Amino acid sequence: MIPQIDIGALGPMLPVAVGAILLPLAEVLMARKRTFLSRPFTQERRGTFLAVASLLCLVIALIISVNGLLGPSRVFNSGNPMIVMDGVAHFLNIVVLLGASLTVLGSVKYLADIHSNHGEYYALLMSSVLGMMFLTSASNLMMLFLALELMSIPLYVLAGFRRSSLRSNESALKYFLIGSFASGILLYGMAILYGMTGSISLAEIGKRFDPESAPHLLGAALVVVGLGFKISSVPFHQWAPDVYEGAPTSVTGFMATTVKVAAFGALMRVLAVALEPAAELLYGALWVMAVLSMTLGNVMAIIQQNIKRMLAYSSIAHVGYLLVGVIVGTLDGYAAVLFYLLVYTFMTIGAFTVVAILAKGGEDRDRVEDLAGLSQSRPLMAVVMTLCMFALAGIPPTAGFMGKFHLFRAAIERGIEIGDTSLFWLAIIGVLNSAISLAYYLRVPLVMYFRDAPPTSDPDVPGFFERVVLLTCLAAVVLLGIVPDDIFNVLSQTAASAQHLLLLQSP
Amino acid sequence: MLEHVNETIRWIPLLPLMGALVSGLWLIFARQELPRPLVIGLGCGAPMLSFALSVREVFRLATAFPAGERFFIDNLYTWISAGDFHAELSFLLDPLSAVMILVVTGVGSLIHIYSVGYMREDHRDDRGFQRFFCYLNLFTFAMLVLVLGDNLLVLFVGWEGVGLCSYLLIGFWYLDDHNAMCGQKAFIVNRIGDFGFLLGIFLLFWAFFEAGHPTIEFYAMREHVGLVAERTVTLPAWLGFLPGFPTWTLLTLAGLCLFVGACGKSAQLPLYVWLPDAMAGPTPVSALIHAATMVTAGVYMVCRLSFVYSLAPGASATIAWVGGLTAIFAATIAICQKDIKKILAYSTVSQLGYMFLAAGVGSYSAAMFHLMTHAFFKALLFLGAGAVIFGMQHEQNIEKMGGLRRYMPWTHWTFLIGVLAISGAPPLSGFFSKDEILLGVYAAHAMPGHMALWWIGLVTAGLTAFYMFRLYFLTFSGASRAPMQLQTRIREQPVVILMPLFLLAGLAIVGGLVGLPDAYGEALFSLPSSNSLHYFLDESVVSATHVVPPAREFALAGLAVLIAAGGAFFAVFLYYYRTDLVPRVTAALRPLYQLVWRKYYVDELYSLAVVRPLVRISDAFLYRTIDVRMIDRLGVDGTAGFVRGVADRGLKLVQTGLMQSYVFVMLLGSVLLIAYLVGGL
Amino acid sequence: MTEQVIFYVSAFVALISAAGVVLNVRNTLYAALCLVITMLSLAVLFILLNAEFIGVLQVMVYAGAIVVLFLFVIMLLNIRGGDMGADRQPVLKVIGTLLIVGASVKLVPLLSESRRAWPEVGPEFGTVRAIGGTLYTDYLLAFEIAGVLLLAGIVGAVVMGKQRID
Repeated sequence: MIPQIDIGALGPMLPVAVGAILLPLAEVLMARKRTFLSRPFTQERRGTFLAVASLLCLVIALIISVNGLLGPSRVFNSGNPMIVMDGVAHFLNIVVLLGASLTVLGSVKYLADIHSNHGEYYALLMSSVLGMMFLTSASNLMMLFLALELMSIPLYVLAGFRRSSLRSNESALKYFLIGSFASGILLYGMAILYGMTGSISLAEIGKRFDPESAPHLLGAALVVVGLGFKISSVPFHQWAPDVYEGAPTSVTGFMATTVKVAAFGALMRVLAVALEPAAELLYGALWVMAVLSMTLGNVMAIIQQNIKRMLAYSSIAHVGYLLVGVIVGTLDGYAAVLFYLLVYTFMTIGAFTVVAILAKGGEDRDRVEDLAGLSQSRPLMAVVMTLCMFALAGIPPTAGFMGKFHLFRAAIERGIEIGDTSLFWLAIIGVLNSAISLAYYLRVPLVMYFRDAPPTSDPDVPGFFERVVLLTCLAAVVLLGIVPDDIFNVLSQTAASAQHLLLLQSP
Repeated sequence: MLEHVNETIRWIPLLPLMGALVSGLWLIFARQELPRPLVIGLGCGAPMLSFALSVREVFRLATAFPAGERFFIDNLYTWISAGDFHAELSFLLDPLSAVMILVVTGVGSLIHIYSVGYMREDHRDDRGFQRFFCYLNLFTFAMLVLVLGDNLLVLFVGWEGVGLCSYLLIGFWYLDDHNAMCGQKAFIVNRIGDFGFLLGIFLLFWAFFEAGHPTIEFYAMREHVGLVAERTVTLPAWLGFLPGFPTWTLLTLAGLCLFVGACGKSAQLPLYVWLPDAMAGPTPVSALIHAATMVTAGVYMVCRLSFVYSLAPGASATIAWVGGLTAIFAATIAICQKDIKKILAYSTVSQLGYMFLAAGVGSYSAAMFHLMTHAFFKALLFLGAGAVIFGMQHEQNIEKMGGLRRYMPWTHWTFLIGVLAISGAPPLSGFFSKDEILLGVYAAHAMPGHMALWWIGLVTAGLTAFYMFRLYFLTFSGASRAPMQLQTRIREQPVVILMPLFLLAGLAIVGGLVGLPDAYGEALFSLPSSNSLHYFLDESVVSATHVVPPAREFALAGLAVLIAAGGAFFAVFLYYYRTDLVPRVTAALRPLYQLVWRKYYVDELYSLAVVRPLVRISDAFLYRTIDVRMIDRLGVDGTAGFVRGVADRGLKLVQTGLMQSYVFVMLLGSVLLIAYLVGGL
Repeated sequence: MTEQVIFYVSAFVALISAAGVVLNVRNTLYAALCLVITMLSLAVLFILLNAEFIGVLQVMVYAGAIVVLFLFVIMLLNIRGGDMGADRQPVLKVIGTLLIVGASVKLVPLLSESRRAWPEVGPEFGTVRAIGGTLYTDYLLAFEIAGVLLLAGIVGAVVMGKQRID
C-alpha cells in the first residue's frame, strides 16, 4: 500500500536536488571538445555557466521557500513524520539558500583565481545545501542523521578543494576525521535514544523521554555533543580555526554560515521537541558552553594575525551568543536566534567575500596587513568590510546590534519572568564579550583606512558577481539594523506557528 | 493650538545625513572628488540648513505652547516591537533637546565653515577634503540623533554613532600610525563605557517591565518612575565592600551603570585617558567633537534622565564626586603640559567635571547652561589654537611660540576673550554658568560633603585661570621663540577662518545673558526671573531647588572671582613679569612637577594593569597554553614532532599530531557533559 | 542456551579483535585483518538478533568491500609500522584510555539495567522483503536522500582522485 504523503512539502528541496544531480553531468558534457552548442567552452565560461545554473536552482528554491513561509505548515509523513516544513524550517532554508547563493556568486572569480575552477564545486555545494535543507526540517532521528551527513560529506571535499594547497588538504583531512568522530558520537547518542524510547520520531521521543533515567540523559548528552561539533561550540571547537584557515575562502564563508544555520535549526528542534523534558538540565550545560564559547572565542581572536582564523574564532564567539537564545528557550528566544542567524550570515559572508576577492594568482591574501590601504584602492570593499566588522562587533545601528539586542533582551525578559538570575548573567557576559570583541574587529578597518598600502599591492577589482554580493551584504547589514521590525515580527509568527505544529505532530 | 506632532523635526538630523551620504557614495562609486565648491556647499550647507530649521522649530516650541507643555514629537516608524518590548524610532524636541540642537547645529555650522579654511591645503590624500566633510556631516547627524532621540535606544544609537565618527575623524590624518592608534584607543575606552551604558538600559527596562510599564521612552518613564523607585536588588557577595551592601535600589544601580557610559563618553575619571590622545585629529574635529558636542553627551544623558537620578541619591553623589575630582585632577595636569591642544583637552576634561558636579548635586539646568557656554568658549579656544597651529606651520608646543600677538592680532583678541570667559571673568558667559554651578553645590545640603566639593570647585576655578593665562602668555606675549625662518612666515589667517572666531567670541561674551541669575536681573535691570534658560529647561529636568539669599549669592560670586583673579595674577607674574622664575620653580618642585608632567603615570598604569595582562592572557596563556601547548605537552613532543613528522616521516602532507589532541579535547568535553547530565556533577 | 553461548563467544571475539585493530600499530596489515574478524563477529551478533539481512550486509560491505580496500591501500602505499605515530602522545593515550574505561564502567551497567523489554517480532522481521518494504514505503524519503548522499560521495571521490591539478 502506498501511503498518502504530501509530496508538496518537498517543494523547496526539489530544485536543489535537481541541481545536485544534474550539475555533475553538465560538467562532463561541457568538458567535451565539441558541445551540443557546437562551441567549446572555455574553462572560465564553463565556470560562469555552472554558477548561473546553480544560482537558478537556488533562486527557484528560494522563491518556493518564501511562499511556503507565508503559507500553512506541511508535514511529509510516510507512516512516520520525515520532515516538517513549518515556518522555522522555511525561514532557515531561506537563510541557507541566501547564504549559498551569495557563496556561488562570490566563488566564480575566486575559483578561477586559485586555479580550481572545476564544475564539481557547484555540484558538491548543491548537495550540501540539500542536506542543510533537510536538516532544518528533519523530524526524526534517521532524517536528521542522513541530512547531517549529506551536508557534511560534500563539505569535507570542498574544504580540500584546492588540491595544490597543502593547507587546504590538511584542512579537509582534519575536518573529515574529526567530523566523522563527531558523527559517530551523534549516532551513538541517537542509537541510545532510540533504544530507550523505542521511536525515532522526535515528537515521540519527547513524550517518552524520562529525565530521571541515566541512559536517556546519556543519549541526550551525546546528541548535544554531535550537534555541538557542527556549530563549533567550545569545547568542540578546536577544528574550526584550522579548517577555516585552510579551506578555500569562498568555502570558508559557506561553512561558517550555512552549516551553523542548519545545525542550529536541528539543535533547536531536538532541544525543543525531543529533549524538552530534560530542558532544565541541558540548559545548564548549554549555559556553560555558551559562556565558554563567547569568552574563549573572543579572547583568542584578539591575537590572530590571519583574518580567516580571526573570523573562525569570532564565529565561535557568535555561536556563544546564539546559544543564549537557545537557552532562553521561549518563542521569543527562538525568534531572536533566527534573526541573528540571518544577520550573521550576511555579515560573515560579506567579510569572507572581501577576503576572497583579495586572493590573487593562486595565493590567498588573508593576513590582516594584506588589507592595508584598501580604502584608497577599493573603497567599496573597504566600506563593506568595515560595516561587516562593525556589525559583527554589534555596533548600532547595524544589523549585528539589533541581533544581539534581541538575544540579550529575550534572555533578560525570560530571566525576569521565571526569576532566574543566571539568564541575566548570561546577558551581561554577552554584552561584556561584545565589548571585548571590538579589540580585534576594529583592527581591520584600522589597517584598511589608516595604513598605506605597500607599493607592491594591487588588489583585484571585484567582478560583477562579487559586486552583487558586496552590495547585498551591505544593504542587508544596514537595513536589518534600521528597519528590522517587520522581519522580526514575521519571525515571531513563524516561531509561534512552528511550535504549534511541533506540539501537535505525532505519527 | 499647535499639534505636538511635528514632522519637520526629522529633517534636522536627516539633512546632515543626506550631505554625508551624497558625498560618501560619490566617493565610493565615482572614486573621485566632486568639484570643490560643491563639496563646500554640500558640507556646510547641510548643517546650516539644519541650524536654520532648528531655530525655527525651537522658536515655535517656545512661543506656541504654554510652559509645561512644550514638546514636539516626530514619529518615523516602529523600530522594534518584540515580546513586551517596544521602541519607536522617534524624535523628541523639548527644552532640553532644544538647547542641545541649537548648540550642535550652531557651533557645528561655524566649525564646518572654519574647516573649509583649515582643510583647504590638505592634499595628503587626493580625496581627503570631501571625505573629511562626509565624516563631519555624519557626525553631526549622529549627534543630532543622540540628542533628539525619544527613547534610550535611539539615544544609544546616536551615542555609538558619535563614537564611531570620532574614531574616523581622529584617525583622519591616517598617514600617521600614532593617530590611528589614538583613534582606536578612544573607541575602545568608549566601548568600556558603553558596556555600562547598555547594562543600565537593560536594568531600567527590567525595572519598568516589572512595574507593568515596559517602556524606554523618556516621558513615559518619567511618568511611571515612582512605581520603580522602591525596587531593590541584592548584590552578589563579592561586591560586599560597596557602601549600602547588600541591597541597593535598582535605580541607583541603573544610574551608576549609565554613568559608567557617561564617564567613557565624557572623559571622566577613570576613563578620561582617551580624550587628550584624541587631539591627534585635525583641530576642527577637536573643537567640534572633543570640546563642544560629543563629549558633552554624557552630561546631556544625565540631565535627560534627571528623573532617575533625583530618586537615586547614591548615584547622584557618585556623579558629583567623580565630576569634582575629575575637574581638579585634570586642571592640575593642564598646568604642566606644553602641547597647546593637550592643555585645552585637559581643560575640557576639567570643565566636563564641572558639569557633572552640577548634575550630581541636582542643578541640571546649571549643568546644561555651562555645557552651552563651554561649547562657545571652548570651540573658540580650539579654533583659535587651530589658527595658531596653522600659522606656526603645525607647531603645537607652546614653548616654541610666543609673541604671536604681533603676527596674528585678530586671533589674539578672540583667544583672549575665550581665556577670560573660561576663567570666569564677569560678565562673560563663563562667569554666570560657573557661578550657578558653584552656587548649586554650595546649597546642596543633602549631598554628603557638599562643602568639600564646593572648595574643590573654587580651587579648580583658580587653577583654570592660572593655566589658561599661562597658555595665553606663552603663546601670544613676549618675544617669539620660533626659529627665524618660521617667524617671517607667520601670517594672520584668512576671513573664512576668522569669521567663525568672531562669531564665537561674540557668543562667549554675551551667551551668559540667557541664563542671567535672578539675583542679578533683579539688582541690575529689575527684571524678575531673568534666568530664562533655567526656567525653560526646568520643564525637562527635575532640578533640586535651593534658595540662597541674594546677598550671600553675590558674596560667593565675589569670592569665586577673587580666586580666579588670584590664579590669573599668579600666571601674569610667572609668565609675564618674571619669566626667569619659571625654571627655578619647576626645579624646586622637581618630583611633583615630574609626576604632574607625566600625567600621574595613569597611561603607564593602565598599560601595566590592563592592556598587557589581557594580551598576555590571550596569547601566552589561553591560546598557546590551552589551545595549543597544553595539548602538545600531553602529546610530549607536539611541535617538534610535527616538524619531524613533516620532514622525515610518511606523513608528508598533513600534520596529524594536533588532530589527536583535538579529538581528545572533544572527548574530554563529552565526558564532562555526560558526567554533568548523568552523574549530576 | 545455544544462543547465549554463541553470543558470548562472538562478543568476546569482537572485543578482542577490536582491541587488536587499535593495538596493532606496528603492522597495519594485521590491524586490517583484525578488523575483518571484528566485522564478522558483529555479523554473527546481528543474525542472533533476527537481523539476517543486516548480518549479510555486514559481511558483504565491511568484510568484503571496505577491508579489501584498506588492504589495497596498505599494500600500494607500503605503509610500514611506526608511520602511524605510535610512539607519540603517550600521556594523552593514557588519559584517554582511563576516560573510556571509567566511562564504560559507569555507563555499561546503566544501559543494561534500564533497557526496554524486547518487543515481539514477527517471522518476517529482518528479512530482505520486510526491509525492502519498509524502505520503499515509510522510509522512501530517507532512502532517496541516501542515494543523493552516495552521489555526493562519488563526486567527492572524483574530485579527490583527479590526476590533473589545474
